[in-house]
Amino acid sequence: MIKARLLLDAVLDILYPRINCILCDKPLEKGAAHGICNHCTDTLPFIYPPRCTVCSKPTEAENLMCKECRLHGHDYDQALAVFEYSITIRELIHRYKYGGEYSLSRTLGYFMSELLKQSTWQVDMIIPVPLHKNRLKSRGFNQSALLGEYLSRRNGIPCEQEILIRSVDTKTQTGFNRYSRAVNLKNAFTIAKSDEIKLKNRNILLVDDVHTTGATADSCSKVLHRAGANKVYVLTTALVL
Amino acid sequence: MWFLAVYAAGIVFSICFPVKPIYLLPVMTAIAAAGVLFRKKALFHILLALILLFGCLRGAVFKERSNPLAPFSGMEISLQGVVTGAPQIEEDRAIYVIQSTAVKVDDLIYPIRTRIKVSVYPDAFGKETKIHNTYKTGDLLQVTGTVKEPSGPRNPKGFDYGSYLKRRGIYNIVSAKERNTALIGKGSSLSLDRILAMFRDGSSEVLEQAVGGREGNFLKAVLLGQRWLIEPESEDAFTRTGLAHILAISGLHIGYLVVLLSIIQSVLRLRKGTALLFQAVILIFYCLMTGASPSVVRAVIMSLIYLTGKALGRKSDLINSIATAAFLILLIRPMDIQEISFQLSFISVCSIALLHQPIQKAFKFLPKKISSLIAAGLSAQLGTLPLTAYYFNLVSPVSVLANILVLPVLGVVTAGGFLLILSGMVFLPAAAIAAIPIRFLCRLIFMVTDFAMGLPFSFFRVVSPSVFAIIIAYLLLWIISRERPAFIRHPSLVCMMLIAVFLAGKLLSGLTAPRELKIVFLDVGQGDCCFIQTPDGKNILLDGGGQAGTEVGEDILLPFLLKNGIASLDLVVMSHGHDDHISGLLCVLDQLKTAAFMEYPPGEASPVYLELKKIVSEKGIQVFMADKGQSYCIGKETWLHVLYPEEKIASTLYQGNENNLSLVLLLECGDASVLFTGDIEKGVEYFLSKRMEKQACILKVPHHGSNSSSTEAFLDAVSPEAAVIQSGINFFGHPSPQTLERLEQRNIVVYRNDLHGAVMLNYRDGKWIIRTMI
Repeated sequence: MIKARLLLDAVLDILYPRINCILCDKPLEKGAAHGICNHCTDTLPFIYPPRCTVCSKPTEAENLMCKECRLHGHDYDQALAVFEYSITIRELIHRYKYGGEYSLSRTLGYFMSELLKQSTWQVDMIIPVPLHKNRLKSRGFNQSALLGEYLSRRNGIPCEQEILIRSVDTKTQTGFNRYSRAVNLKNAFTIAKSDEIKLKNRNILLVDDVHTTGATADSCSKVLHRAGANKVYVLTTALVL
Repeated sequence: MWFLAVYAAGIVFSICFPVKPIYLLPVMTAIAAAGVLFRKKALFHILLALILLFGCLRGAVFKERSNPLAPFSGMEISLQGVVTGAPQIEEDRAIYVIQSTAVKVDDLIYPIRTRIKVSVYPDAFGKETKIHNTYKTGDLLQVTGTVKEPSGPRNPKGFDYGSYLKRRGIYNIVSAKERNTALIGKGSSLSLDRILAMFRDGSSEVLEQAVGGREGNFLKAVLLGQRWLIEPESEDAFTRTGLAHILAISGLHIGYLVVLLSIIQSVLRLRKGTALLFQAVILIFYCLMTGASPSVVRAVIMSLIYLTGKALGRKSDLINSIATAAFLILLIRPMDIQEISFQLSFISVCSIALLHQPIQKAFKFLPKKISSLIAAGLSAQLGTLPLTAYYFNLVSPVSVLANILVLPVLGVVTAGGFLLILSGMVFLPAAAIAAIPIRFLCRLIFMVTDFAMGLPFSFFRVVSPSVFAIIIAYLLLWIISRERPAFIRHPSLVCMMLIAVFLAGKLLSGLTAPRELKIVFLDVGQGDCCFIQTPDGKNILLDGGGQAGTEVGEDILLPFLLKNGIASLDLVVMSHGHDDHISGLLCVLDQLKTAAFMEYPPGEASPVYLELKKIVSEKGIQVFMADKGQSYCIGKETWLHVLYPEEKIASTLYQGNENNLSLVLLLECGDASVLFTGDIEKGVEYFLSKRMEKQACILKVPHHGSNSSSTEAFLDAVSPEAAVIQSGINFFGHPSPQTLERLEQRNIVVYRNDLHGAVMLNYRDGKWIIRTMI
């Protein structure tokens, strides 16, 4: 199955090669498989340490927690994000989610996977944040699931999409404040009873595109912990500062 | 991209050099073995080499295919077969491509399966005859007629009809009278071919009923690929204004269709997968329905790549898609690389992809939309310029303007036309209403075309550039393009260097070209036409042929001159005032720069002659009246002696017969001599044979080989070693068997246009080299 998928990717790479940088449209250097040229890569807003030990927001010194995390706390164990949610990154994620450029999952996933490799996490299972089936129908694909699949292929960790289910068709989170976001998501996620056994004492990696206040991640983590998961890590493409 | 390049190179190689497929296989295995040994190191290069050889193999295999009906060429055969593809039905003839199942020759039946082009003509001759019965795709026919292999080019650099048909898998043509064709069965009604034909005929019917007339035919050409319905004059107008591409279904039409389809699917709210399937099926169906010419196939493949990419969330790269499309087409039909429509189609999209950006930059003072439109038009025009100059000898500066005006209208017309066909199939009156605005828009397109034609400098004729010049031109374009090779730091410097190389090459070829006398007796059907080039490069045209129902000047003479690099003539000679000698001259004198004209005024001026004189005086061409005893030095050591007419004698020999006023000219160049005799008959021959001072090596046989000329006394007096007869299909019995016998008795080698095509004579270092086209 994975082999067939790789073969298909190879064929598609011949038909749809990445020749030009997805940001500046100039020819790519050799080996820039993720599709962004060296020059543009240098301008991307990577989040470097020192960062918050929980939500990975930049901090002033090592091993500190940021103010929000000290105040509110999180239900997950630790989160990492590749980029700051800058204008460039916002446009990139918009192109990916709404512009129909699914293949950007490989670009974004590449950077996420590199970050995952640098971390000390021992992950047993990848779970992408699910979409409600109505939303899935209207958007046509789950942006987190594609990222999750990519990470799974690259790091050899199984990706499970059926365990965590979004049972309530919540309103979109954009435009809500911290409090309403949490309320909006209350009881939005459930876990199929028969699947609880799979989560017992496992380290879970939750994958999403944007980490704003962490409400989605918290909501998911809560259910996962309740089902018996050992640790819940969160990996996102971008973090809103 | 690289795969395409080497594969195409392989095919070109196999076309240029004969390669036996058998020799290629071991080499390929060896390289594949090397690939296994070296493993990863040079895998890419080995793969390229393999693909190169595979291209050679494909090309060579296609070239090896032979004609299964070769032994029966020229015989009358009976064949049974199924009509395939779209029949080409016109008023006075119908052309079918038949896939034969059996062929009967001399009461023997052979089970030969091959594609044959069958032309059916009305039973009776005359102007009012029409074809009564037409057949449809899928019909099983029995046809009796004469089978012939299509001829290769009949004149130097002329159109090669034979290889044109061979590329379509057709090796034979059969011409038959309508009474010798019979329908012996209907094909199965469920074959794809039949369904396609049903839709094609249905659409055609709708267009005929709802639109009709000139606009209807235009739509049929633009939407259904029935280009033969466009009258030659309008086609000319489109070609001259650089709009001919809209008549051939191509990327433009497919693009409009894709836009229409995506609107339809968004109205129907189809799911992504279903939408893709829906679009793909319709595009492929449309492509097959219109005859799957290379340009349509290219456009459909490219749009499918684009649409699939959209469904998969991948962006397609234009150049890569172009290369993929070309590769796929050449994989299936390698010989398409020689096809003009293939070359033009790919060159134009490539140049739009590569040149659009730099050109748009140059026009950035204009609003973005306008500059983008100009850049698209200009880049396509620049890219195809070398090829259109080479194939059609045309450059139309007005084309960019015409395209900017016409293309948006055409978009509405194509989209509207598709909708019209759809609605017409359901409910005809609806289509009739829809037709009103579309008819108006079609007329608008005609108006723009006519307007563009009328502008000064709308188009001009050019000489075919050499292959060397074309390569230099494309290198220049490559350098100014977006994908400029990285090692070039100073593009303008390299451009100048390229131009310098070009000029040096031209100078060199001018210096090294052999100095020889060249004479070409062109095959213009029934009629005389001879082109002479003196050793120092002076060009002389003697007569221009002319046959009723054909445009000898436009179709044969002018292309011959331009394709062989002749842009101006130093002297045009008219032997006498008959149409079969001068009709073709009209267009040459009109289009090419001519320095001088030589004639002997005819006894009675025909309309064609009067028109000719009008052009000569309008263009201010110097006129020489030929008279016996004159000698013209037409080039270095090259003389043209006028032996006849002499006024006194000519007036007695004339007797109302223009032929007897024909110029008789002796061309002398060193030791070589050629006698041109026009259409003189017995009387003049008798007069000439009495006072022939010199003999001639080569004789142009008088009056197309008629029995009333070439008397024994005359032939003895001239005593040529070789003779050329300029005749084609005719009702006068030219050349007559008696003439041929007289020539044979004197051991004169005879070359005939009707049998050999054009006859080329070259005289160099005291030797004649004579070649013929066939």
